[in-house]
Amino acid sequence: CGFHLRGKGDTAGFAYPQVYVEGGGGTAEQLRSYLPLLDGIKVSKTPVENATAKVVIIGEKVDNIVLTINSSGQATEYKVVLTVSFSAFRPDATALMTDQKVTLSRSYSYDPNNPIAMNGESDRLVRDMQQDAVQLILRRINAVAARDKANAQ
Amino acid sequence: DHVEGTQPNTLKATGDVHIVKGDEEYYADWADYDDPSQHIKAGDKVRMEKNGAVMTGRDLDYFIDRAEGTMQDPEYQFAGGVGRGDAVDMLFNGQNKYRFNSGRFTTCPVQTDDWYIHAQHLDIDYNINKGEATNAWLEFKGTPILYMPWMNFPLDDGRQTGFLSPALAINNRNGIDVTLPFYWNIAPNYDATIYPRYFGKRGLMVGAEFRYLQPNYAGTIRADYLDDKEADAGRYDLYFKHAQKLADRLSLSLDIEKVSDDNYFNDFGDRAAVASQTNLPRQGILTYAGDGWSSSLNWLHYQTLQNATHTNDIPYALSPQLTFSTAPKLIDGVQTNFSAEFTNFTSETKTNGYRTWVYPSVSMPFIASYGFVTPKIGVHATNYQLSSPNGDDMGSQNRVLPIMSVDSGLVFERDLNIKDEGFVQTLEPRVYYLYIPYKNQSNLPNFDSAQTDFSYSQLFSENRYTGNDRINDANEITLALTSRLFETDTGIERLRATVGQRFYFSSPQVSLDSTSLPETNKSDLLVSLGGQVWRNLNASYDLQYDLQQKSTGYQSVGLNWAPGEQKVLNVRYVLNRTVAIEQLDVSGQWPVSQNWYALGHVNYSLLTADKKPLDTLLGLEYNGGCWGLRLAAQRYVTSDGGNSNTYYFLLQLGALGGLGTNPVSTLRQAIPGYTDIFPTK
Repeated sequence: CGFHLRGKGDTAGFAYPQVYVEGGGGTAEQLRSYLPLLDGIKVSKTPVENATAKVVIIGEKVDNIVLTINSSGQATEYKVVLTVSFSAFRPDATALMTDQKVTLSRSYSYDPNNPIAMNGESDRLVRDMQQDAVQLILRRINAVAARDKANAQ
Repeated sequence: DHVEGTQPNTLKATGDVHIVKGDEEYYADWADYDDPSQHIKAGDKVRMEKNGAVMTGRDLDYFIDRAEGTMQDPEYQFAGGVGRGDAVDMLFNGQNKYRFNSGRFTTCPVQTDDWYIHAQHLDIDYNINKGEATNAWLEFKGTPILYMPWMNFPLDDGRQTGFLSPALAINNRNGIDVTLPFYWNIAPNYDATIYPRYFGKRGLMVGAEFRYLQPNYAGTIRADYLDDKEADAGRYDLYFKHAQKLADRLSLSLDIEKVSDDNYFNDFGDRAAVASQTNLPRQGILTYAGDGWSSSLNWLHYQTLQNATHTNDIPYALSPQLTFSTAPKLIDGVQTNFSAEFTNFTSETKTNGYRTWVYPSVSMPFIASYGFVTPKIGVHATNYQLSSPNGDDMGSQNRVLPIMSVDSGLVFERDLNIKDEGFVQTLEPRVYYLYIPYKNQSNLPNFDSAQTDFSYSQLFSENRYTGNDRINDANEITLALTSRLFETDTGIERLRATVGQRFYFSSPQVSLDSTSLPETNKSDLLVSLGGQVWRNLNASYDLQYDLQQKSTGYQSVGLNWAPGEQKVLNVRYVLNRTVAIEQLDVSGQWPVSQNWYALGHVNYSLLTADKKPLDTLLGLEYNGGCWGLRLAAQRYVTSDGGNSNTYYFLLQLGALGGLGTNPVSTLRQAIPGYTDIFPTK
């Protein structure tokens, strides 16, 4: 059916051997801890001119909104939405992609009697979405970088 | 036709006079011009053009360099078509400043006389883009609709001190609801809105909101107070949100809300989501981010609102909670994590306690392009020091549990071409093994634990319970298969599908309370599909199915279709046994004829006991070019067993903001994908 194990192609790993991650928040943290695990990728503590690509997590927004109520007018489900905006720069500091957005959401059953546990559930889903966001962001940077490199040749 | 100079520097001209002076042009039947004083007198009919603005009238008397003078019977059209009108006479008050006496002003195009501001004095200042009217009344379609002794209005999108247009709504709980907000633009980074609001049934509420923004801190303070003649009580709410960077690594956030009574949001909230609030936080968090570690101090108490249909538990408070976590890099290829927490849980009715836990763990992720394997081992150790609500010592409890897991996955890919578009499709099998020995935890209090929804994220997490009072026993393997479709050129995910299930080598025993869990060897089946299935059509499907009992624990179907501007339809069906709901939610916005847009939202409960709509909003909107009309009716259930019914009426005249309560924020919440048909600011 045409499936093959993913090789060291463009969709795996990271498009540039050296990278600096700018910005705070959970997604940036997870990006910083994930990237060095990739084969041959070095994460710099500071950007090095003409050597490091740069991923900038511009911002990260978490919204908890009531998704459903029951006939007693109580919240029964919440939706937590994570929006991460990011840019990526080539090693020569020119922009590869700017102001991109990844939006993820999860819904969860809500118990108004245990708000601390519900905060915990929301936090856990946010961490989970941040992990997904890392993969989606890398996928997009890799795809655009692959086309970019093909054009340059 | 005729020009003569009577004295040096003075000109008299008659018959189709045309004078050009810099970027200013004058046309008149006759004109006298005195060069030293730059004084022009012209009549009988005059046309003056300046920086794109055009004034026509009679008898111009004008000093060009000072831009001062007068004109009779002016008709004016400002540059860029942003405003026009006429008056009995006008004063030129300096560059780009005009006063019109007994004049009128509109932002409607020429020959469209839908609305006017009439005023005894109308001052227009294009230097600061501000208009002011005294003794003013608004005419709409030839009918006077509102008188105001003074009003001001912006001539662009800028923020400006002044009265905002009054808001009008009718509500079953409050009667007529009129708000006259005053906006105070204190500084670029400070502003305030003061909004007296009159409720026909209850009296006058005074509210104010103050917002501030500084490089190191930002926040909002809001307060409302009403001496409620119907409830015979003072009613108020307070809201304070503040975020501050205290030092380079130290930040503070405050989140404080308080209302006077349980029904405050039922009476004065503007939508079901607001009315459904149960616990209002009073929270302060200090966070410190070190090098490779972070720590926080969290103080959290709640105001719990009770309601007629349901008694809510008073939740525990964090008084306070201290957290610490670090991921030191000790050995290459090995991830070390250490997290710890100390909390003082307090309650007036339930067991109090100091709870401390530490959770050190190590993992060794092997990541290759084709997959990953992550073995992980950790020890979770907890200590409780318990006491009764009145302070009697209830002893201590300990729990130490090792947690072992192996997470692994492979990634297969193939290139696909669908209708000349390149895609990469993945196939990602994932296997997760988790082992945690059983320890009876029914003797432990439950401060912050709840069972999480069975979901993809729960499938691959160590604990089915949130919080730290229950740690599930586990000897189980989770299998899942995910397939995704990415656009080759952009890497954007278009579709994803997952199926997963967990298999228990030993039946889980740890429950939230002392009840025992049913014997089982496998979990429900989880199926999830979603993404952009067609150009403007997004769809999602989620299912949690018990294969043994042949029953559905959770099911949801969502569709979102947005085929064009101001066209959106959303449908969501959800069945959730955990919280006992089955609902159909339909919402949308659609043009019904030229300039008319219909919109609606219906949330209908399909439960046999209900069979009724819980939240409904229907509306019509009209875009008349230089004005807009919004009509909406809203009804939703409130937590006191009643309903809230509101009729919104909003007339927006050009840039003047609204006359009536702006339901746009309500519409945005109710109709995902809603686009404003008459955007002003």
